[in-house]
Amino acid sequence: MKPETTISIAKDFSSYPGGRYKTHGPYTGEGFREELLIPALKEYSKVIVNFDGGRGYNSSFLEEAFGGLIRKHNFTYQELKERLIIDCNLPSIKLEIDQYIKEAQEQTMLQNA
Amino acid sequence: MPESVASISSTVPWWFYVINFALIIISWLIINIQNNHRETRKEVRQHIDRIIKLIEQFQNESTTYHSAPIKSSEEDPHITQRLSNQIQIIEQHSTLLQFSPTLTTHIKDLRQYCTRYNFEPLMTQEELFPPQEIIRDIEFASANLINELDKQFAKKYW
Repeated sequence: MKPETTISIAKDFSSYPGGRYKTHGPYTGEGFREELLIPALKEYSKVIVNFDGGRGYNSSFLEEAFGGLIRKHNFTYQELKERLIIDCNLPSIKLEIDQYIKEAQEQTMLQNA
Repeated sequence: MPESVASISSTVPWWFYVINFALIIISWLIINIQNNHRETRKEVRQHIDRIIKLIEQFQNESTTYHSAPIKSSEEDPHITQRLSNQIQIIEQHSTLLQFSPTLTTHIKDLRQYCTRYNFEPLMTQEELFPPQEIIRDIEFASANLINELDKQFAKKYW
């Protein structure tokens, strides 16, 4: 695996990301996860996601993009903590993403129990 | 020189002048610090009042959005982007205050209550969460954030 890569949401995806599923629009959380995040996590041991330049991020986008890594792609919280770095100068977004990854992990553990 | 003046100036010790000068400097410093503190407090309070106006504007617009029987984003696709952007602006302004990190949690809550559910266009009736609950949560989160700003201001400046 290659060492590290950075994904800029604003430059590589959209300055106006929004929505949860691909059926909701062109720049959704599901789209971001499947087109950019998953390929990067398969190829690089560390993925930095940069949030600069975005014109606002809604919770449904964040939840589907990052919570979906655990729900739909079988990553674990621990693995993402080591490999996924959130580069954002808004602390509430980091907090929220961490919450969604934890919630998805707990839901998955309950379903598997 | 008259004898009385000559006798006074010869009896005042040199350290009297030094102490006088030091007292003047110290007094000036104390008054200057207090003035600066007062001005800073005023500016921070004005900044907080601006942020509160932004929060109230956000609350009104998001309540209108979530109250609409047909999702407003069908008629105005930019409204969801505008709401997301407003939260970002609120947070950017709040970060400048350098208050305690508990503010971050309240900002996160406000974003979540408004933009996690019923925030996609063309949702069917079955997909929608009860809008009254969302509106109530937004009001609650807005009030909490405003309270937290006031509380942290009072803690720092009173």
